[in-house]
Amino acid sequence: MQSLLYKDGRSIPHADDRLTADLLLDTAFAGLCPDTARRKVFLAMLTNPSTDPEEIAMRSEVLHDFLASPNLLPSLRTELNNLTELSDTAQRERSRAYTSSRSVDSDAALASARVILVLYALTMEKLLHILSQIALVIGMYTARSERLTALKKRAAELSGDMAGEMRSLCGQLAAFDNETAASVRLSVNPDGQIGVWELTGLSGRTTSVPEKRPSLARFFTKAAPPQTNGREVKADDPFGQLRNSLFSAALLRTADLLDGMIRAIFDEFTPLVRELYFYESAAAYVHEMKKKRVPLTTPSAGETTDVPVLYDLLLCVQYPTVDAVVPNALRLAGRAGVIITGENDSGKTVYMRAAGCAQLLFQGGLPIPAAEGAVMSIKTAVHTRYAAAEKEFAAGNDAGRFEQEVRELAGLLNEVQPDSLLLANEIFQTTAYAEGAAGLYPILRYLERRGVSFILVSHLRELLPMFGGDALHMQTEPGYHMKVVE
Amino acid sequence: MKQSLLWLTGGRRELPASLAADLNLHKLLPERTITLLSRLCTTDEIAARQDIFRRLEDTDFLTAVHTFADSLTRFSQASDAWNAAKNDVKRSELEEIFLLRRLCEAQIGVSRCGQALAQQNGESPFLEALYQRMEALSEENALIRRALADSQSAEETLSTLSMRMEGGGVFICRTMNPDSLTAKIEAYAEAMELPCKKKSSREIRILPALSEALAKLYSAEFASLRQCSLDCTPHIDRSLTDLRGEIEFYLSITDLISRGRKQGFAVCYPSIVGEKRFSARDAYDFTLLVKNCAVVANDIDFDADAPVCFLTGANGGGKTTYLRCAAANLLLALCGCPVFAAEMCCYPFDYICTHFPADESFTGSGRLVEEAARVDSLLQSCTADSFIFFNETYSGTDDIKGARMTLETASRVRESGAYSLWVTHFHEVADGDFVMLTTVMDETDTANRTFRIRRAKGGGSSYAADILRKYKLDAASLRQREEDEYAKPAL
Repeated sequence: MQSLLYKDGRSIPHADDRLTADLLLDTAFAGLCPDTARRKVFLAMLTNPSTDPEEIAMRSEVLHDFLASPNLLPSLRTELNNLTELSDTAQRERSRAYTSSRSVDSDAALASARVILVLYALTMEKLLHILSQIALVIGMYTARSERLTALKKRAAELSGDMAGEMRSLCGQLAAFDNETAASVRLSVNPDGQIGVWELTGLSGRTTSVPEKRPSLARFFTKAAPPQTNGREVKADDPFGQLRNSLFSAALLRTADLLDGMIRAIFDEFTPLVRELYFYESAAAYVHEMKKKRVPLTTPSAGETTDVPVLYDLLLCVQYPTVDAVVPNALRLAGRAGVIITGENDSGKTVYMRAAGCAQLLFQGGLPIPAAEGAVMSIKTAVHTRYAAAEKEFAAGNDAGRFEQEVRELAGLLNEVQPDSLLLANEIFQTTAYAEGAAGLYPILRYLERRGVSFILVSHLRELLPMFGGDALHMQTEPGYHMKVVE
Repeated sequence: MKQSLLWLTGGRRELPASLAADLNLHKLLPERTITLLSRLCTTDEIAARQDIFRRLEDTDFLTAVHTFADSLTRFSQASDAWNAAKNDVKRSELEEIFLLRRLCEAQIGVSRCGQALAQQNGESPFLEALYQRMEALSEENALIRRALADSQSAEETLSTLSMRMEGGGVFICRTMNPDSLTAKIEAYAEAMELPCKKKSSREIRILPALSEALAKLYSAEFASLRQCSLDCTPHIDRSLTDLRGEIEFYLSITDLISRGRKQGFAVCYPSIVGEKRFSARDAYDFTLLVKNCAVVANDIDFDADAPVCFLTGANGGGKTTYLRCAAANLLLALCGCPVFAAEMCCYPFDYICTHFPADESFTGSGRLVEEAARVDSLLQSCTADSFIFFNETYSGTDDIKGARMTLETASRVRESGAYSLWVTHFHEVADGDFVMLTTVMDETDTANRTFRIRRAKGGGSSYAADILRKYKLDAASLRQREEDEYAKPAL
């Protein structure tokens, strides 16, 4: 399968709704990417971060090609849309034709088989033409990324020299009508069934006149024995049953071969249609950030995370220029995690969100809103656990809220992988703070032992002495700045 | 009668069909095997079958039996296919000819595999019978082989055909067009690494019109094939299909034994004794294999001093399981099979039957009347050498009446000389002079709620506390769960 997003044949997964909602990703990209289908794909890619550095670099290269040649993306989109349209038409016609081919009337079945063969031959011809156009488009804009180069090569290969004979054959098959003489070779298998079919020749229009349909008297007269000249014999087939069954099977067998190839080509190329959504959204994101003078940088992958100047994505989108957004440094190194404390509305959650978004953008192969010199470590996953929304607890009590948080955390513990990142926002504050801290501490320690980094926004100050410096304590200061508390 | 792999004299009286259903055998064994289990063996047949089962523990012998079974399956399938073609006027002569040739080849295969199996003879009367049968078959096969060889080239000629559709007609040609459009498409697909052969190839029957045309064009070849069919047909032994069910019996029981062994069940070959008794040590209810759950072993002991026993005890304590364990293992033993027990000896009872609660589908009578009628009918069909298993009989009435009827019937059984086991919730039967069995908590197994069956006077407790422990809701189980979670290694 051709892919501009994955090294292997994976398909685009579903978006992680929790991550999307907690990090307000949908809000951030709603304006940048108003088309719902495109945004859905984009968010699905962001919330399922790649863990392969090569894959991340690969996406970055492809995006670079698209940004360097602004017409490449729409041109490729046009050709891929043609491919989708052809696929839809072929699918529709195939269903219609196969319904007819199951007709109990053998004449109709043969006619349908012929239609199916012609349909596939025409589809194959068009498909080869679209592939040649794809190769042409990519070649015209001199793409440099390994993936776009590979796509061009494959499209050119399928539609190149070898395809010449295939085109001619398809042309021959597409002209097949009920006056075409056809010859077949077939094999009788050991169980007395005709099993292997080969179409051996199509000899254009014949001059012989089709036999008249037999009159009713045919039913009351004995069939004449087949006549032979020693080299060939004409079968006694007054109702055309033998002809129809043998030749419709042979034509359908040939059609099956073409169908298999056509499907394989569609399967190989049509996923690109959705993959381009990602790059279209990514390009819109980059253009918007540039317009607002937000610095963008592609972090280098490292063992730890160190982003000296990081902007929050949502604020960058919402404010007219970057000057209105306060950047902060993000450093995740040598500690179990980060505990952020501070006054209400002082920027704790924004900081954590900026860190989460940057992680997802980085692992999606996109530049992050940050000044140059950023290094980020690759996480196996990003998880969020936010205190549940008020509406869910409108009629609840403290015990119910707490139980739900515990249950959700228990679910996380079952699925969490080493080297992942947990962003927890004011959890376990729905019970007495001392009890909440006492309950949360062993869980965070357990996660730490499993190699999970965490950023916790919390009012549970009781946690700080429990960690005793093993976690980085950050506190907000006036002006939305973050300070490391030693 | 053709030589059999299961019977020397045809076995004993047929058992009631309800027996297999009551013992849940349908979930474990194929239908044909269950049918064969519905007739108990004579002592000689038991010994001969046990001999075969012992041999089946040897891998080479087992492989040879599997090979033979496969050849019989192929023969049976070929036979069915040929029959279908022969009896259908819409099928062609050529198809019938081809199918007969396959049947002939399948018969040769049976003979070859059967001889290989029978050569591992020893003293088994069943293998001796098989040897004789295969010897006779190989003589027939020699004639078949010759006829097939004589017409081999004709078959090859008619296996690849060329035809042309022109002007609405179909012409079958002797000469082949070497070109192939299909091959060209395949070549392109292969070169481009496109998987174009996903769909299975279509197969259609040879229509009579084609067969007739071929008979005309290839008259010599066709005549040769026809002659081969005429020569071979009298030598086909259709009765070979019977052997398939018999071989399947051995293999399905062997498979069952193997499943039981994997589950940790003990397996032994029961001794058949002249004294009227049925006893076993550490017997397992193998019918629970379908549930894949832990099974507790129990002892079984019936003899002249305890021909009729009552089993009472806790709900969910395994009373019915014990009954099934005893009945199913007795059935296996008397059908010449290995049993799931550490040791077993039994008298060659001539009849086994069960009385289980029936579905609520009585016409005009109540449950009690229906049960009483079934018991009467059952007792009439029993002999002094029968073994009867009663499960919750007379549960359609109150305790006092039910217990009285139970004791009366048990006395009748005892007087007839038959043996029986009763599972009942009527604790009042303890007042009679019968041997009582009851479910007892296994104190050695603290982690699980395990019951064993012991001879004792029955108690009337419902063991509510035990049920709680079974579901691990007691304090100790909950503590244990916590420790287990801590014991898991960190990733």
